[in-house]
Amino acid sequence: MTNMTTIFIGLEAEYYKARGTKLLLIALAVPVFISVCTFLICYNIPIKTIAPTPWKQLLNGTESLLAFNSLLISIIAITSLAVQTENKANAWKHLLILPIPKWTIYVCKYLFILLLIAAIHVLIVLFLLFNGWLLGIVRPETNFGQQAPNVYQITGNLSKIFLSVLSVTAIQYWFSLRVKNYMLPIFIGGFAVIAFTFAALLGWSKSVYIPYAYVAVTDMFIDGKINELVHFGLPRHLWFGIVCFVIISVLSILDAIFKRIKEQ
Amino acid sequence: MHIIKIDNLKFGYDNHPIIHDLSLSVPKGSIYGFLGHNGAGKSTTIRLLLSLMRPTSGNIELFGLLPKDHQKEIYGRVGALIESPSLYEHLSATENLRVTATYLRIGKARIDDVLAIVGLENEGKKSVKAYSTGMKQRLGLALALLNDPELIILDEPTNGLDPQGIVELRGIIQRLNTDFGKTIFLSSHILSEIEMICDYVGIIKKGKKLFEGTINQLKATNTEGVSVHIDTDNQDKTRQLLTDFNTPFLLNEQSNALVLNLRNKEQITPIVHYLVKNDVGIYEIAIKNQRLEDLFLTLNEHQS
Repeated sequence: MTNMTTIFIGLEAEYYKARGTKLLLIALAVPVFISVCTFLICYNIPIKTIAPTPWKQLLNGTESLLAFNSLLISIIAITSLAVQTENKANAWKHLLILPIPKWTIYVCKYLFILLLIAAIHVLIVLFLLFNGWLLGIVRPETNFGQQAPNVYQITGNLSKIFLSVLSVTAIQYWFSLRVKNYMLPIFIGGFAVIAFTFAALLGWSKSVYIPYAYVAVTDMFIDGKINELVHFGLPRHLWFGIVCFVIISVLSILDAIFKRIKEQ
Repeated sequence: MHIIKIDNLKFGYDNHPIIHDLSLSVPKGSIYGFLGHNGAGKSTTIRLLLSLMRPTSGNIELFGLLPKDHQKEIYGRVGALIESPSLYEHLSATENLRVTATYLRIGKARIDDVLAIVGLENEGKKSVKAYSTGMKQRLGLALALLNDPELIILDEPTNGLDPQGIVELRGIIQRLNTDFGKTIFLSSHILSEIEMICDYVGIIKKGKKLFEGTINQLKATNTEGVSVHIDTDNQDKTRQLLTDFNTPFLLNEQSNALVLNLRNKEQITPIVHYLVKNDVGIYEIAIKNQRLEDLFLTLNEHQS
């Protein structure tokens, strides 16, 4: 079996495990919640405000809602719950004695979490486009029907937000693998998100080094509220985030593989 | 041929040794009972056997292969149920088996087969949440059987089961050995269970091997002695008197009787005289057939 086949098999198994858990529900609920909120905001916003640039207003509203914690907290919950599925089932020891490479188990779970997060972003883009189309029908004076959405800008901004959550996902995955009580990573991660998001919004200059503040920092960067050096189209904090994501992902998988099973 | 061979195995944390120079040999086709009190090192030995932990020193061979060189092959030939079964309670039995079957690239037919072997063929669609402890244990065994292993390792499989569940599981284990030719390595602290089901036994205490051999060999180790059970009107006073009389004894927790392991029958008379002289009323004194449990206690006592 090639490594790719092994990974696909592992992902398939992760999907079977996730069915009937809150994981898939959260992955669907986050984009639905954000879309409903942005729809209501844009529906009630004064016409003179929204009509000149309706798609931009819709995108800004979505980004702001994502930045104000809802996205990162959901991701923290997804990461902890995905690991908790194994802890609750007492399943690590069973998985580790299957005739498959040990890394498969941890890598596939991690990839499954990342795929769920990517799916959340894709759904947000799709729901955003649907929202604009629907607003154009129910409230034609908003001009959604008259202007074409800037799909490049929408996907570009959402891609930046996706990149900004990767480092937190890596940290939370490692934390969840290390701590059996799944509430602890959710509580500490949630607290970190709220604290560092507010610190970033209040202009704390060190926020660019704190992954838990990155969604807010990215939102402010997109809105032009902060200036940052840009390399290959990405601001500096996102490069920090990507490096942090790669290093912590590798370390967490290695740590899990070499950890003694008694600790699990 | 030995399917498991452990030589001089040592394991411990920092300055706290858990397994001391343990050597075991499990013959192919046997049901091997691995006996010991809680905390004796049974689960640790099983985890070492399955390479879930690394030994400090010593050798382990399964199927004549070294785990460090042939881990994947060994895992392909072993099925294990370690303590409580690993089950996703939000899924049905079939879905639980399907998760493991996906990793193993095993088809649906085998899922049906293993459900039938453990007697859950009509319960496959039921959520595991609704399963009794006995059913969960049988499903855990079904998971271990998915890859049609040659060796099945069961760590305290009857833990938490009611008498009916124990009987059912015992029947399945025996069938796996007789009908399917599986070698079973079974750990337990319930000695009567081992006596009923196993042909070989290894006894461990505080990480050290006390005995290894057939059940008959174990019984033969103590044929010269007699086990005397004594019940009196004042067991506390009797204990004190026996201590003063330099007679080693053990308390049978089930019957609350004192168990004396004596070299011969002639030792009984002076003990009875001594107790009567000290105003102890004797309700019952009986020479018992040596059961495995008594032998186990004797071995433990001698070691102590």
